Amino acid sequence: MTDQAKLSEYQDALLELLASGMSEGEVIQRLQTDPRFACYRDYVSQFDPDMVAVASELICKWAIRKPDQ
Amino acid sequence: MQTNKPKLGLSLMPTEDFRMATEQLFAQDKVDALEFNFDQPLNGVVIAPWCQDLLDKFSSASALIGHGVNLSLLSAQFTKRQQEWLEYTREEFKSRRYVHASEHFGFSEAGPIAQAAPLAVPMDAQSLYLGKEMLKRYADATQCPVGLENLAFAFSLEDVKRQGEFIDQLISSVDGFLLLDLHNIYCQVANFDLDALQLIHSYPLSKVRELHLSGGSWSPSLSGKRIAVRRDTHDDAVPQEVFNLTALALKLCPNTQFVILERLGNTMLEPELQEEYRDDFDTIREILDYSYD
Repeated sequence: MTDQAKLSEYQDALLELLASGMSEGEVIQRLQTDPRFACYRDYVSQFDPDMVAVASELICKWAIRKPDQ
Repeated sequence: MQTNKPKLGLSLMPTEDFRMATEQLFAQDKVDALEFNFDQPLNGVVIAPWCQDLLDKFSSASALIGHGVNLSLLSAQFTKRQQEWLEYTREEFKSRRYVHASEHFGFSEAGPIAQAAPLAVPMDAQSLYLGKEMLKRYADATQCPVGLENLAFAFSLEDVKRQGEFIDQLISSVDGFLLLDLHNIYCQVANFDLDALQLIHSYPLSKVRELHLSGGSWSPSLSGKRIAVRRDTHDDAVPQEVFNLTALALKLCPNTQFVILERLGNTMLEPELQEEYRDDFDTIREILDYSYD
């Protein structure tokens, strides 16, 4: 898989998880344990739970979904 | 210190409270420049005739600047929506004369989401490559200098520490500029307990052409790690700390051309809040006068 495809998969999963209503702890854990995102594990391990909660609120409040989603 | 005083302007909101709050500022010719979130009509926002008049007036005076919100610069996939956004932008920039155009650092489109608030990305070679390619497309569409705004949001302290250098690498590819949002700096200082001067110095200050000032709000900290989380909600008066940062930034950023006050539409419905907004504007004017005269 190319680096671009890996990044794309990570961004897709991140926004999907943030929009899911899961707790911030669960979002971080899913990203850290999913083997598809092994290359981002160190990056995600630095995530601050408060900021993940803010991101989740931002997505739930302001996001516009794609028409087919 | 620079000798040319930056233009003081407002971020245009097509709402009645904004019109009421700013009527006398425009009537008294106190406003030097206007910033327009030019992609709002793509979301169905109607730009009323009084807004069109202002846009035309400031365009004619070479004092109109563009600010994009929904490009999603650092999305991994280049989508049809982004292509359409760029085509719309190309037409908009042909129809009015913009001095420059900015967008936000970060990504806001991926997976099921077409648009959202911009979020931080892993700052690696892949993101850098994608960002440079998208900035080139943005510059091509606007045919004017383009720049990036620093993000208020960060997933981690590491995001905060590296953003300035990463933005510098991105904008260097198009000889672009930095839009330094001082409330966003304030958010990061508050949320990560940082030294403001040190954080500001992590940005390429000689490339700052524009400053943004706004207010925001506090949310509870779910983790208890901090007293509260500072949010860039643009719905309140400018805090004193941001005015202090403005005086500092004007000293450190010798190429600043515009200082823009932002406040979200429909957040100053009461006359006292409109007065508060004008007070903020006057305070920025005083800081500029003090810094340059």
